[in-house]
Amino acid sequence: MTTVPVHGLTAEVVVERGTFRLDATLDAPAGGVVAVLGPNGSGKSTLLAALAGLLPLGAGRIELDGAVLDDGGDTFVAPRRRRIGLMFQDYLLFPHLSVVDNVAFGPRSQGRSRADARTTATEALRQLRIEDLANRRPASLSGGQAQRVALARALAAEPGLLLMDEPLAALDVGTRREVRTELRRQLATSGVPTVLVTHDPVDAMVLADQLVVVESGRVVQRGTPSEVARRPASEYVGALVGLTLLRGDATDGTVALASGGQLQIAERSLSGAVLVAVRPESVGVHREHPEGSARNVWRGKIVDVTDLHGRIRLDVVGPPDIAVDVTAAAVAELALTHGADVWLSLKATEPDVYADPSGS
Amino acid sequence: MTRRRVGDRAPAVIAVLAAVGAGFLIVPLVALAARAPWGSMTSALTSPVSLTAARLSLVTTAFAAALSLVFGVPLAWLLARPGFRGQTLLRALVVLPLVLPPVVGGVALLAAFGRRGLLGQWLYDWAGVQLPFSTAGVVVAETFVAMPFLVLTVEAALRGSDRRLESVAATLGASPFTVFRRVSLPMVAPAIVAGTVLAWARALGEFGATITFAGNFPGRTQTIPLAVYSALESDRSAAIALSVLMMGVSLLILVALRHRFLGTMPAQVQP
Repeated sequence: MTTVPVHGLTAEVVVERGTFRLDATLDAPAGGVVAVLGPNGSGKSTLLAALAGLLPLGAGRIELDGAVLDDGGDTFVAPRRRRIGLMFQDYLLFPHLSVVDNVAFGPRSQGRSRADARTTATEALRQLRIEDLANRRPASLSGGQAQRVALARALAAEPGLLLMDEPLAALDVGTRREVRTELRRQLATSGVPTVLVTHDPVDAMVLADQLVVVESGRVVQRGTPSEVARRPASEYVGALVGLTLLRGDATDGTVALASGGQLQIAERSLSGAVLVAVRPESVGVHREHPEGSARNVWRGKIVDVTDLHGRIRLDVVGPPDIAVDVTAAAVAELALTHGADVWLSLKATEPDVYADPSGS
Repeated sequence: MTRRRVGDRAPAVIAVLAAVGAGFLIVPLVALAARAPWGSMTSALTSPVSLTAARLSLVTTAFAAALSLVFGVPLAWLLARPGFRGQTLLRALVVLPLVLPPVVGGVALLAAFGRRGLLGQWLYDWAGVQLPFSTAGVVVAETFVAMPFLVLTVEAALRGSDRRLESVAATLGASPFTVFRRVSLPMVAPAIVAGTVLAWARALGEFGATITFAGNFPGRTQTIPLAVYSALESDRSAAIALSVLMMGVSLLILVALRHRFLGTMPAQVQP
């Protein structure tokens, strides 16, 4: 173990609830924004509750700025002494307090005088450019305004770490886009390390500089948003970022796919368990056996046709099964309807092939 | 007349039974109002006996409501927490006075606070305090029957409120007592008001436990209900006048808590 003082969060969280077990490590350096991405029920909210101290660890260790907050044993720092701000997805402003009193709640609870707390609160509101809301009641705020007030309230308590549970899920689509951009700027200015959980890949990609993907209580991948987007380690992430992910074994430029069939790839040096990420627009669709340079040609049947606004997504059963994006013109010209038999082609250089991090 | 849909018309049997039921509840109140000595109402209510009873009722019920508030709200808070061992039993015991015949409550209070009672003998030996047949005893009897109303009302509200707000307050650095005072309590403020009014109204009407535990001494333990009971023997018009007064107070309470009782509760605004 190093004794260098660590700034930000280092956590190993093990929590068991009935048959569900969460076992995840997570680091959030000072100034960093980490997004925990995962489907519903994957343990994201449990992770936040454990970090905030609302749920004691079964095992593991949570450290913030070098101080141990929970070690799964004798050390357990109460939520109110952790300096960890928590924002729920529905913001949960205190309904009986005005906006400025909501924001002043933290400083006031930490023993500051009423006037002093109000000054801090007003300053926090000003930094988020919502000082004109100061005397409003939470019930009269729009979703976007409530989000900002909740953020101001969390920041006014001067947290060493900020936790956000689905920070944008309560907003409608239009507001969401606007608040997302704004929130990124705010998080960057505040400099407070942040852990946010979301099941929306766009939120995660835009807001975070590190991504941790959690499924069934385990971390299945971590990396920068672009790494994760380019080389997803699980079908869940693959689907989120619009890639078809195929698993298989590589030998000398050929991947024997776990789901049946095989693919030729350009990288001859890879061997063992690999993942093949295929962009849907890189697959060719033909009614007749295609002539040409594509190394992979196989037969398939269209089982689903979806309009994705601007392009058409075909789900084709092979093997290998694959998603293909084509233009509406191609659909009309080739009569690519549900149930149609087609030929598929894929250049060996097209898919991104990489070692399967979970493979043996 | 607006046209009614077929399903709106009540079957004859139901309509008749409902009318009898409603009449049964309404007729006595109408009769009481009809019998009221409206001309001499003022003199009946300002007679020394009435005035003394009214003053005593005001003072004792105010204390009973205050005691219910001070002890009942924390009790409600405890009962609304996630379960601890014996919580269900505790709740059952706490609300038992609601269904217990008041006279039994009075006997139970004698067993507890009587001069030879479980706690009463200590109170008498060590502090010289004797609760039975005293004005303080009236307060004790009233609090005993009234507090469960407040506890139940506030507990229901606490259960319905969003506990995550308390978590937020804790992460902002608030101590458990600050959370209770600045978040939990304000969230259920309407229920606390309603519960206190209910408890006060119950205390005001208290008869059985009071007469059993505190007796019926004018100026000391004779509250309005007891004065009505006594006046029925001696001064019937005073009894009716006091009854009409109590009915008026009950009506006022009903109006004050109309959202709770008359089905016009506005939808709860969720933050």
